[in-house]
Amino acid sequence: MKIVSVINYKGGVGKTTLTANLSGELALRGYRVLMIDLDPQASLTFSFIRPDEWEKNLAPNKTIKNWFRPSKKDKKLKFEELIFAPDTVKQLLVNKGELHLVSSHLELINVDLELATSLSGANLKQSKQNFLKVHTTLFKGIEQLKDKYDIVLIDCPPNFNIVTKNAIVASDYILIPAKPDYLSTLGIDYLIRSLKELVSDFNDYCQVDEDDEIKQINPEIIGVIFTMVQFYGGKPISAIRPYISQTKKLNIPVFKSYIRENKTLFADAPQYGVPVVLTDKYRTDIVDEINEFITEFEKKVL
Amino acid sequence: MGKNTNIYLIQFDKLTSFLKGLNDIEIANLESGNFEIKMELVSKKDYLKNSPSRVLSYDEFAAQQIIDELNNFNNREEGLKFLLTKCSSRIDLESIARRMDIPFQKKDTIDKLKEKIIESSIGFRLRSQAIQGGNTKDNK
Repeated sequence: MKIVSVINYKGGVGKTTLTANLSGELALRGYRVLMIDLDPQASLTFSFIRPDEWEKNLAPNKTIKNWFRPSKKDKKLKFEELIFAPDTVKQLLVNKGELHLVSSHLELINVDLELATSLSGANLKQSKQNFLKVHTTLFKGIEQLKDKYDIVLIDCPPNFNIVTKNAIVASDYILIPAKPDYLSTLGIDYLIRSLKELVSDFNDYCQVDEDDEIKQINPEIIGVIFTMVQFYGGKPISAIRPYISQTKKLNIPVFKSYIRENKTLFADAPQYGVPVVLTDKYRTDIVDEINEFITEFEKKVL
Repeated sequence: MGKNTNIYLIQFDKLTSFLKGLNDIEIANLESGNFEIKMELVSKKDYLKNSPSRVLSYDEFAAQQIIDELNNFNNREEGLKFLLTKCSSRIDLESIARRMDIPFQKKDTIDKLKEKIIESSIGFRLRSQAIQGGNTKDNK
């Protein structure tokens, strides 16, 4: 089971659209896919279930918030109890793979603050133990699933708070969607810096707790996928090409494929609960481009 | 007239195959009225100059050497000094910018062109190192 975090500090880079389409296409190709929505905005969740249905059926006791902040009733909660299979894609995946989701919760934003209060300890050793306990909460949940899925894709919020760090700690790979512009490419550097610091701290703290077998982490940056790319004459427009080539020159792995800007196609797809790759037969050119990326991804990860 | 008719037909054929090669987005752009097809008469010499898989001219070779040198600098000011010793005319700077695939406009000043070249060869690495807090060559 491979675990991949989809993350960028910068919001609005098409992270959720990418996660939904990547997950949908992998399921169509026969993989058993679990998506975990860690963003309190719950965009991935609402790409597969209507907010009113979510509020009625999932919000009370079947979201990722229950894992991070269990109620007294949730104390014996198993991670798989949080998983649901969206009806919107079931019919499209008959005799294919699986596409399941652990939904987010709008109150997840408060959970970060509560987790932060659990970090302090009476001495250095206890603080480090608390750090490890808090940051491996999600890892321990995913670990319960063993090999029930081929791949777990985690849609991270655009920040580097404790919930996001949980995703990194649990992950084998990091996928970075980014727009090819000045500020977004700076965002890639911020992210790499934060990743290095987290990995260094975590692995350092691991050595403190000799009784508990917590393994060191080494999530690999699988690559940057440039999103919302505008094309002219069959290639990205000249204004954005320098940012793509500069990222490659920094020795950051970059996917050869691009995800094209197309508001007509991507703007309302989430409203109908089905990713573009599973539905749009009219814009095969765009779906083909997404599939090119997914084939690259598949070769690298699966 | 016979000759003229022939050349018209040849050019119409080229236009037809160009239109057939447009993808859906390009067609949608044309339909929107915000885009149009531009045709102009150019010399074959100029056309070949811009086509890929060709031997570099002396000027292009010189421009590439300057770019390769700039890529080794770790200081904007030193890079700029070097650039000024190698070229100062607008034509030279445009040639380098073109070779580096840097977008520029005719209204860009010479100083703006220099800045774009330095940022695209040296500045982006310094920005990245500053934010990442060290060498960027170990990300793989």
